[in-house]
Amino acid sequence: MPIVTFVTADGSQSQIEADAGVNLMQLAVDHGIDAIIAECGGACSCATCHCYIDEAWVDKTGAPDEMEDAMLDGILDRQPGSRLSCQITLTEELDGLIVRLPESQY
Amino acid sequence: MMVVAPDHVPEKLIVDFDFYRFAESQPDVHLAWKRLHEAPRLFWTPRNGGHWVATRGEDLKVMYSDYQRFTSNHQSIPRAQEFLFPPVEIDPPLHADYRRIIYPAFSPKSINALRGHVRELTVNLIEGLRQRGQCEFYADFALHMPIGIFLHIVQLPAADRLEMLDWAEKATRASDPAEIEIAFGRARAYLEEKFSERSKNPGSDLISVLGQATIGGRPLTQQELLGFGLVILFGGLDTVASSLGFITRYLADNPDERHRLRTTPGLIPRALDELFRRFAITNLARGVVEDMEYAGVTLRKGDPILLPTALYNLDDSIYPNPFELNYERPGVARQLGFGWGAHRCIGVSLARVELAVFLEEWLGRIPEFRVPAGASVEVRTGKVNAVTRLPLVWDPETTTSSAVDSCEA
Repeated sequence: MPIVTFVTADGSQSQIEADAGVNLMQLAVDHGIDAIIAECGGACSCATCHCYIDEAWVDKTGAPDEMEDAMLDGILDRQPGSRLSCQITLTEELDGLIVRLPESQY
Repeated sequence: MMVVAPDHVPEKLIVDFDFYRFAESQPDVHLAWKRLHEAPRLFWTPRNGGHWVATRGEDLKVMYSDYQRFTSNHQSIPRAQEFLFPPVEIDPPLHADYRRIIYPAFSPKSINALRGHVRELTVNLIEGLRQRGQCEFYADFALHMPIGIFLHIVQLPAADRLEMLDWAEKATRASDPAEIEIAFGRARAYLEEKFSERSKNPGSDLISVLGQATIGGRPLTQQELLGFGLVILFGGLDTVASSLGFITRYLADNPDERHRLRTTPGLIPRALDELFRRFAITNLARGVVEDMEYAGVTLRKGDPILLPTALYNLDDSIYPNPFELNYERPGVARQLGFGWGAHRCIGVSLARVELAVFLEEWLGRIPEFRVPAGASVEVRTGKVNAVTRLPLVWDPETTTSSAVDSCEA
């Protein structure tokens, strides 16, 4: 089962084991990661589950589609690894994924 | 309007409850709402056309977000108008197409760029009051601020604020439905005129954006435009005014909290989540999509359900000691004050910026203020819990013409 490391804005880390097939946003919400709000519940319509995928993992998570890209245009501090976590499905291939969390979603 | 209970409502679940009036003469409306946790999980009231009320936090979040079972086409009780307001009364997946039209104007990035303007407007309003030593906070400040910001977003002259203030006050404070209808009529006429002007002479403002938007390849209809316009104007009007009112009344009564936020303004962004949680304002509704059993209760297609957000935000099983303010409270960012799911308030970033700038500037400039002894504060419940009259006094000698940051530097 894939293990994901979340790194908060102040540097604290937590490692969480996921069931393959779960999306990254749901994993964070289910484990009380407060930096991921996910107010729309995973419909790609709120951009409050924004996170930064560690550079080494960007190729494996893939690029945002057009709809996600439009939402990412509205967030604060977009960077090359910016993704909406609700759009990333965890697979065995993503075992070891490192995800950095923004200081705030607003 | 009282109605007879339909057959599927058992006697034991009928409670005579008028959510527009039940808290009259009670100083703390949130405490009044909280008492509904003692009522059945779902109960039915014959008031306001007859509707269910969901009282438990876990159910409220489900009902706000599960559009397959609970439709947004019954967004307010009683049902207000003949047509559906986009995007708030349109269900997914179509909802996303509507929402996407206005999202760019309300995204965190766009709103952050407005911060300077929000500050300028706020400072001007506060400075206009500071030397007076008193104000009626609702009419003198709380309504002015969101109207001023709306006018800026749609690029209309700031001077229109005075005209709008008149009908905004009537629409939010009047208890007579006829008077409210007149105020809405004037808002509608004002917006119609502006849409028509901008269609001839479009710019980059939100009114022009809406005028040029398409949905499924066609332009928006007049009704859709108007619906959007009213939602954008009124969605951010009494909601922001009410949040300002509840938070300011709390701070007027709590000098220590006032002092803490003034001297540690870095706390404000985190504090806002907790303040929005503690002083939840909205009481919207959903309609039942199909006949079903929910938590052992029979619900029929079309039954309206009132969803008071305070009953999630003050639910002990979700937030222990719910009346206590704790800025480090776990899970507070997922409070229900702005709703939940696809329809969660699109103005959340804007509301946060408005409240944050207000706290920074007001607490910096007028650090000591209180509700005068014997003054009457008017608080009411309805679709929005509101503070519609909040007299404040302060000593002009204790004020300064600078905000939090500079006075503490």
